[in-house]
Amino acid sequence: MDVQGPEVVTPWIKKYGVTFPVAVDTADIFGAAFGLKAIPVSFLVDEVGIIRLQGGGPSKEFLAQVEEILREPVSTVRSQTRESATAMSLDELRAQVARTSSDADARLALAQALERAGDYQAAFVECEAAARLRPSDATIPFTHGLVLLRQGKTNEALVKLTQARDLDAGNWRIRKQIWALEHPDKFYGTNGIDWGWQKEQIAREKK
Amino acid sequence: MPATRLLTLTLTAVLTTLVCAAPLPVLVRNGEAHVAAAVLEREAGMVVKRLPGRAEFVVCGQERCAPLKSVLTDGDDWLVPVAPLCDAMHLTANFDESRRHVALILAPRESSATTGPVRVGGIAPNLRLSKLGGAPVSLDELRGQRVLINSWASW
Repeated sequence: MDVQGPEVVTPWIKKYGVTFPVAVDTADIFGAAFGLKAIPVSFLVDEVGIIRLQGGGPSKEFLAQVEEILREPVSTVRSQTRESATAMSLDELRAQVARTSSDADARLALAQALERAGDYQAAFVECEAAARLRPSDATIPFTHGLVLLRQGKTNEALVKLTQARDLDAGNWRIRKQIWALEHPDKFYGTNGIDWGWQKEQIAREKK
Repeated sequence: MPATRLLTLTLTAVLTTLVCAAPLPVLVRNGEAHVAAAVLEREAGMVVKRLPGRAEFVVCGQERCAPLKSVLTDGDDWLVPVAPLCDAMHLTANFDESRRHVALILAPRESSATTGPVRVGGIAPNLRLSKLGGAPVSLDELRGQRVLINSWASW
């Protein structure tokens, strides 16, 4: 979920001795595909491909339910791939946009893939096109803001993220992203994350 | 009108697909026809799973997952009532004369694997991301394994 990139993630992995594979989702691909409104969030996808559990952080209760699933016999049924645009290759997405240039989802997915490939200029163009096609969708200015952030354009990114927040007021991932930019000292200071400040900030913005 | 009738029969044959070639044994409980979950999985490629913490069941085939009510426990197995199963999976049940066996017939329709909202009890959408270090990873390539996804951030 870190649009700031791998460099902000690595210290955490070292600190907690993380051994599981970590994917850095700078373009919010997972967030968009699973429709996340807040994090942390956890999902268990079973061998069939079914989403069996959703939880917040790894609580005792959640882990007990995971254990319950791990004890089941393994099924032989496999669901077919449910392709989301976010899983298509750059070439496939380019071809799709060439075919249906007025499809906002296709253009947003292409923007995300271009961001992943580091082609920020082209990603920017696709975000603008998607926003013209569907101005009410918060995901588009959110992605646009993330692309600008990757380019180091913090102020322009904040404008887009604020647009996204206004379109989807209940989305705390967007709000937190804005806080991290506006108050880096509360997130990346020498004392780590200032949870007390975050609590107050949540209370302030819930009004 | 024999000609019309013949046409209807032909159309039916074209438009329907048998989910399982062999009719499944029927078990009657509370006056209702049931099939065993293990048989359903082995013979018809449909799996019944319980959603922990919810006391709800889902039934899933290759293309579709749907909630299922009133599943009975029978020793280590579950018994699935035929009528709700057919509703959930868009099937028609063809019982034999003695009602001891049932064939499940699927009416073809557009694949539902790619549609519908992402929800617990539904099929997970595929994802393609890059791991730290750059190697690609997709959810689809992990099919067959149980995957715990934990989403976190440094903020």
